[in-house]
Amino acid sequence: MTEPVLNANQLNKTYASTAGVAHEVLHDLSLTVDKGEFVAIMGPSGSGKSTLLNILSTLMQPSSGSVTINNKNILQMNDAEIAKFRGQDMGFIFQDYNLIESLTVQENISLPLTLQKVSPKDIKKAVQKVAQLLHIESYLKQYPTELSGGQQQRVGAARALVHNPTLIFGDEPTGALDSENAREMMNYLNQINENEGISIIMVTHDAFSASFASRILFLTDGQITKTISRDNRSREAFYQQVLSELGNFN
Amino acid sequence: MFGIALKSLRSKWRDYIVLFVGLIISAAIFYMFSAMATNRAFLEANSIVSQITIIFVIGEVLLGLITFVYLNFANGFLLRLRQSEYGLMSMLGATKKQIGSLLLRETLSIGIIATIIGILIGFALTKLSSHYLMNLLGVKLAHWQSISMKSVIITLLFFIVLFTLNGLYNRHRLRKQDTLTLLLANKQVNQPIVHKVIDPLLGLIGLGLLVISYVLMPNIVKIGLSGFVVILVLNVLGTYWFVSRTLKMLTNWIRNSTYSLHGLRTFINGQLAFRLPDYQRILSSIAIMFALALGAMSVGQGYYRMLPNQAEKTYPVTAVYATDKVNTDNLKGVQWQQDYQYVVKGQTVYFNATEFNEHKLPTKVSAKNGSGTQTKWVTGDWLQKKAAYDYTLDGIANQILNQQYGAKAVVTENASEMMAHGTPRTIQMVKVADMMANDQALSHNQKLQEKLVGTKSEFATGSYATYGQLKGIFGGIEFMGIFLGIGFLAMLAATLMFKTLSGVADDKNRYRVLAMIGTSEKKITQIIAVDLGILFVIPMVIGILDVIFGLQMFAPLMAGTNNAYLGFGPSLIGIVSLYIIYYCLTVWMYRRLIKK
Repeated sequence: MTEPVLNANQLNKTYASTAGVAHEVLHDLSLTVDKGEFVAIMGPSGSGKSTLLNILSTLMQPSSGSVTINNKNILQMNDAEIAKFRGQDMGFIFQDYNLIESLTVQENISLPLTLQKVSPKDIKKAVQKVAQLLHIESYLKQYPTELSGGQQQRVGAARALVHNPTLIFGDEPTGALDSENAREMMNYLNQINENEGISIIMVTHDAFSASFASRILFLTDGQITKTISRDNRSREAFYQQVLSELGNFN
Repeated sequence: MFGIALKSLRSKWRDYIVLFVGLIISAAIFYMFSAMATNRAFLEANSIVSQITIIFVIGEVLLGLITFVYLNFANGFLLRLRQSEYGLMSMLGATKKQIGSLLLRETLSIGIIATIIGILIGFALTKLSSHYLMNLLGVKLAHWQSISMKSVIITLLFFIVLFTLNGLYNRHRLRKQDTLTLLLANKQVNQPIVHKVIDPLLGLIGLGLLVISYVLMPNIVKIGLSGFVVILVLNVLGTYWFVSRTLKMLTNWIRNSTYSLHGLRTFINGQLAFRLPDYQRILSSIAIMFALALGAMSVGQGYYRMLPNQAEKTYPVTAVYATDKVNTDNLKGVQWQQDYQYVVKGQTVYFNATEFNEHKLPTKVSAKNGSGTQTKWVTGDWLQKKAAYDYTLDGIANQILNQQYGAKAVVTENASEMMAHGTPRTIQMVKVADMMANDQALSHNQKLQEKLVGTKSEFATGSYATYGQLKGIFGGIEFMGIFLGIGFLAMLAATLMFKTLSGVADDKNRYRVLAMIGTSEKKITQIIAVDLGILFVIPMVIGILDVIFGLQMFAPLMAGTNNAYLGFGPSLIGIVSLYIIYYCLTVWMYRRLIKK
């Protein structure tokens, strides 16, 4: 019996437009993600993917509904609790990497740990470990702007991983990468998911990236309209299914 | 193309407002300073220091340099704001020439509009602050003008020339870049590069120059005015090299030590290192502006504080009234009070020795150790022997006759001998413990005396009257010092505020990332406070050091006391308090902008 890591119940999100007309982005959306699961969320522009990810990752408040992560209701946390929660349980990977350009690669990766007041010795060890895993040891002393997009994204993944979170959120993590780098990035995420047992929730446009997930949710007009699972099939077979689903979908 | 330009203006209006306000303030301050520096009649009429006009010319040059650095920076900021737009225009087919002329026109129009508004605000600032200050100090200064055509022209010309130069330079820079570099301008970052030999060397040279300038400062009188310029150059260069290189090495050292692997030190150190190439010039000019503000204020305040002391040294009593109709009950803390009788005949005023024998008269004599004066209580007998030399009594005689000099005081043997020359009248002499605490009452009494017996304040005796006369002579310097202190402080505030707030757009994303990886809002406020705190503290420390040594240069101006530090304490407290308030305000604004 698997245990849920995240549980969202009856999420609604409404934006007030400038014309005064309310615009509903999420409508009664519920979803559960199990420990160690890799979930991709797909859907056309404006379907509410990013809003959903922002709410699940504590960056945004829903208009109504509840979200629990590791059995904690994240909507009832105060600012300090949310900060601590993000620092210990969550990792983020973004389309535009969001590295701090004033810091070296090493400093960027170690930041979540220095915030948690981990000892310098342990910080060095942890940074070395993720750097090896993501093959970025050779440019630890460099600045983000000196790296290629693929390299920067690996640094971003290292930073999301370094503090051993239970859950990683990815917002189009391969969106800015070419196919070679995208494949590499997805392989890393797959490794992290399988070897470290970290759950991943990822928003993506890209069928290829989505095919690395174990389950894909299709979002239309703020609701989950279809769910497909990879089960025991190969990634390639799953990819074909995603493509055909997208064909039907559009 | 104009449409695109207008759109971009709208989308970045907050950045433009910061830029615009900064430019307006710098033009206003420049005007304020010019209004004083170019008013030769005012300077000469209100200062006993002959070099004052030259000091002001040097001051204007210095302010010009600071403004130049500031404008240069502001224009760099403008270019950065616009660069990606220009890239877009270039991609859509605009030629480099078109874009270049657009940039030049934009720079010039922003510059001219800001300068004109700045001058208008300068009028108001000059008028308000001078009015307020003159009232506060109780001085009336001859030839003071708030609106001066000459300064309007100087300010306009200076700013237009600087903007044109900057515009041409920006155009040149723009033309050298290709479309792609322009498009990605916002994403480019310059990282500080540490040079193992040059950095420590320049740091040491900087420190050396700074120390030399400090050593030279007390000897300014020997070196002369050219020394002033040399000291200035040494100090400015020294500050620049020392601050920039030391900080660079320090941040680099912290980066490589385990010290940084704790809490948010990595982030704060990274911010500092990252900003340095951009900040070092600004930090150095702010240090100098801080020093100028504190220095000018200290000299002004020094005079303000010195004058009552000086006045009290010249007379043993606070006031003398040539009539008994002035009621002295309004005075607080009266230490001594005595009435004496006198008779006037021609240019001679007769007193009665018996009265002085019964109630001794205080007078000032040379101190026994030869420096300064001391109070001596004298009898009528003593006065009869020394009468011709006692200037207290002669002064009173002149006051009674309402003239500067020419009267003679004669002390007669007794009352009948005195009254043989005419009808006796009464003078009152009074000494209070704290003259300044009785300022209003003393001023009221003097006006009453003038109304009753016509005694003009410039002929009155007593330390309060002397204080009034000294204020007429030194009030100008006092006013200039405080006025300039306020001006420099405002300029400094504008520069620092502009510099920090113009970086918000870049910093915003860094703070957003920090929040995402587990930094609470409270922590972020703390980091901002420390981050900006470092930028505020560095120039303050250097500025204070500059003033501690620099005030020595003004010792010769401090007549009588040679103590240049009289006004230092209160000015330091005043300016540092304003600076701290200003710092809190900047943190608060910065915090709000980051949150948006």
